[in-house]
Amino acid sequence: MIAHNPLFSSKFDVLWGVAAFLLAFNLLNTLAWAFGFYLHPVAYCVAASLILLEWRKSNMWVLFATISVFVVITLGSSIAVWDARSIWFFHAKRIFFEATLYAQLDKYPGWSHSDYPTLFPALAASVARAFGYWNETLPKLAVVLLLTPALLFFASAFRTASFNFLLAGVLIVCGSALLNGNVDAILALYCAAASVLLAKIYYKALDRVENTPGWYLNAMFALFLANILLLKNEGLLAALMLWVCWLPHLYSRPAKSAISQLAILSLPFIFYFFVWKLPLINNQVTGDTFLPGMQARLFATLSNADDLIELTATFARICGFYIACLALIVAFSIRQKMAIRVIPIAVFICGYWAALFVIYLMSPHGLTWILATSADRTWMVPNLCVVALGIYALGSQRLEINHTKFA
Amino acid sequence: MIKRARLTKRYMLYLSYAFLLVVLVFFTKNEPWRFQDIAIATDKDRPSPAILQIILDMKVIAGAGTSKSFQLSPPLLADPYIVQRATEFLYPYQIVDKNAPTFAVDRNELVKGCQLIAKRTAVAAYDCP
Repeated sequence: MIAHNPLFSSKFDVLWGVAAFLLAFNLLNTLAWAFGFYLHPVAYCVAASLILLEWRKSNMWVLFATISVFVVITLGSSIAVWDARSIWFFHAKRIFFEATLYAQLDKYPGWSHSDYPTLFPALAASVARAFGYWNETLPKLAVVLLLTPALLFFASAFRTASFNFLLAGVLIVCGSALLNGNVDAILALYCAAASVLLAKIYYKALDRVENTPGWYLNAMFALFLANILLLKNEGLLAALMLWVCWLPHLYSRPAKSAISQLAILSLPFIFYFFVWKLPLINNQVTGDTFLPGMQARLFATLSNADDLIELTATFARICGFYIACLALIVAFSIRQKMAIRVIPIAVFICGYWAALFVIYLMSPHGLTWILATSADRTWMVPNLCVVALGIYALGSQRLEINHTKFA
Repeated sequence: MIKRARLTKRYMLYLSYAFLLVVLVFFTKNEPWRFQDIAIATDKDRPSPAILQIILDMKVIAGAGTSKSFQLSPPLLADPYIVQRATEFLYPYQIVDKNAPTFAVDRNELVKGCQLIAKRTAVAAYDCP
């Protein structure tokens, strides 16, 4: 059945399964640390090596070579940038030494953002535990481990040329943020993967060709959402927006199917709440974004012309090119009568751009400083989604034409 | 028509490989890594270039003693870079603000009556009343 589908070749099923396993591994490892245990990363590596079963496919070799390069670069450098050192790997170090996911909830030290989620630190702690000690290099391998499921998903979802262009796009958009130990690039990659899945779900909702079972797509989407939620605080924003963009497709579903899909897609939020948000509430740990006085800060920034110009100029510099690309993709998709797959993701991307814009307006820190230190990284998420969406839209268009001609 | 489509597809494939290769080479070149550092990646005490000698010395002193927490002298506390790197790198030894041995570069940074506990090239630890 799946073999007739031009967008999802059955030959890539192993990759799809491995990607799902690795995403579930991330969540189970986080849960295990909550109880003082951990999952050995060797299981992760063994599962990932199953991709070699698909050795006949060029996507596999491209992916294998790219991941090998990532491993070499990671081992040849140590943790250097501030966020990686003072937040992510410090939290990982605390988990490693205290043997609990919640080590950081004692708020030591005050500047280390104790409210940040711990999926990535938990995996880094597992890597250190596997080696038996903590040093300044080996836990960085967790970055490569976390990138793998999203890259595997793309390898399964795209044909070779599209996959190559997408990988190049990831390297260009993320640049040095990809392997420096920050989580922004990983979040961007996961959101891009979830966006492509969302496109597939919409395609499936109305369509003639997408034969992948709905629960398959929804389960994978749920796994990505759960990982996104536990990656960064912005992950909550991204996951909520993706979920909202996912909802309208239920309109075309029978009531029973819609309820079961809704149940599947509510699981990531329940997991996030019980594993991370509830312990934060119980320990009275709060972030610094949504502090009292948000409204006052919002109006203060809006009434300050210099701040507004600075924010708009930074936004235009970082996102301008991608906004133009998104407009072209939407126009192209409407012309090719495949808007249903592109519009929901375009809504997500525009919403994310706008939400970050508003968050910067409410920032309790100096606008110039916060923009200089974070704007490139935070807006990377929607920008990478534009790249993935563009390649998906162009690639699937070609596949559909081929399918119509030769099927 | 079909032949032309297949040719286009093949050229697109070659183009994608070439593009990815070029981007990957530039990416690898721009990353801050050194091939010779791979050999020491598994060293237990491998420090990061972000760690100053003073922090390395603090770790040695902390490792040799029995105290699980330390204070920093006022001049060291005034430098956020030192405070943050010391907090991260020294962990599980914690930096606290009272009732613990104090790290100082110079004894004059501290109140009178502090007793020297241990000394390294860049820093020393004192027990203060």
